[in-house]
Amino acid sequence: MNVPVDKFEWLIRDSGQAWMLDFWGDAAHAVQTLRETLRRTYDAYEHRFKDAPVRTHFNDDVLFQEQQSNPHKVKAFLQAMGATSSPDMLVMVWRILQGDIIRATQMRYEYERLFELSVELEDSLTEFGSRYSSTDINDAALLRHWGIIKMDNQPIFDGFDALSE
Amino acid sequence: MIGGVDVILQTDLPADRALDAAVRTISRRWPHAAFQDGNTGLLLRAYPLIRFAKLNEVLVYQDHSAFERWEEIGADPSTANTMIHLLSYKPGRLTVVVDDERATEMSQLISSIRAAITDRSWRMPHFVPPRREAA
Repeated sequence: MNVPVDKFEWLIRDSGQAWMLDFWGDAAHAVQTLRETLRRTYDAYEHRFKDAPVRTHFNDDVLFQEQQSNPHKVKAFLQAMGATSSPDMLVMVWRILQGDIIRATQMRYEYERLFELSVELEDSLTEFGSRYSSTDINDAALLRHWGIIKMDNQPIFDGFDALSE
Repeated sequence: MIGGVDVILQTDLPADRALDAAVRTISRRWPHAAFQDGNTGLLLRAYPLIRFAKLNEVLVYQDHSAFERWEEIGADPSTANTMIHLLSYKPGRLTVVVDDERATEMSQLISSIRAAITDRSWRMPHFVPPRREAA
């Protein structure tokens, strides 16, 4: 049995997302590619939230701590990494996992012509807002993870869940 | 919560996810909610601090002052329906304890929680790894 030495590879396998590595046939290369995406996501997060009323961070320490505290959230995040390599979209996913309200979303689509997705989030405590957008139709796959509830018969998208395997 | 009413909800989610969904749903109604780890009694001032994998019970207070009132006087008419106790010990089952499940706000919250832990119509039956082009 091979024991993964890279802690990120361990994280992926521990979350049951080994397909992300094995799909490519070269696990080391996949780890490297995903690590680069993650690094850019961390950078995007720090840039976006450097002026937030309550400063939070997203880095390896936070991610690995979350695996201990809330593995279901890390699993959902890793599945998102399998669907998109956009740092902005991944920051959006992480913020929803941390409890942000999905304040608004718009999607425009025209056959063979256009795809536009925009999402507005809001920190439920500080009301600090953030906006995310994409023109890559693959990012529509992220919407499948959103939870759906009604409050007083009004619509709410809420949460970002791992999909069943 | 002495005298509370146990509302037992069925769920197909694992315990940690069911608790998470329920807590989040209540937080939408109570955006300044305070949380208490039901296993340790530890107060958690914000949702991201909750370690769902490490607990089976969460008490959700309407806000921090509601938590302080409960600490001070406990179950009392003045604290009614300002705290919801969630328990998830058995797979497939989430218990929601409220003072009065017929109170409008509690009734609506229970209905929303039920939807959050059972409405999975948006879900794929099986996760399919997306196709990606080789770099």
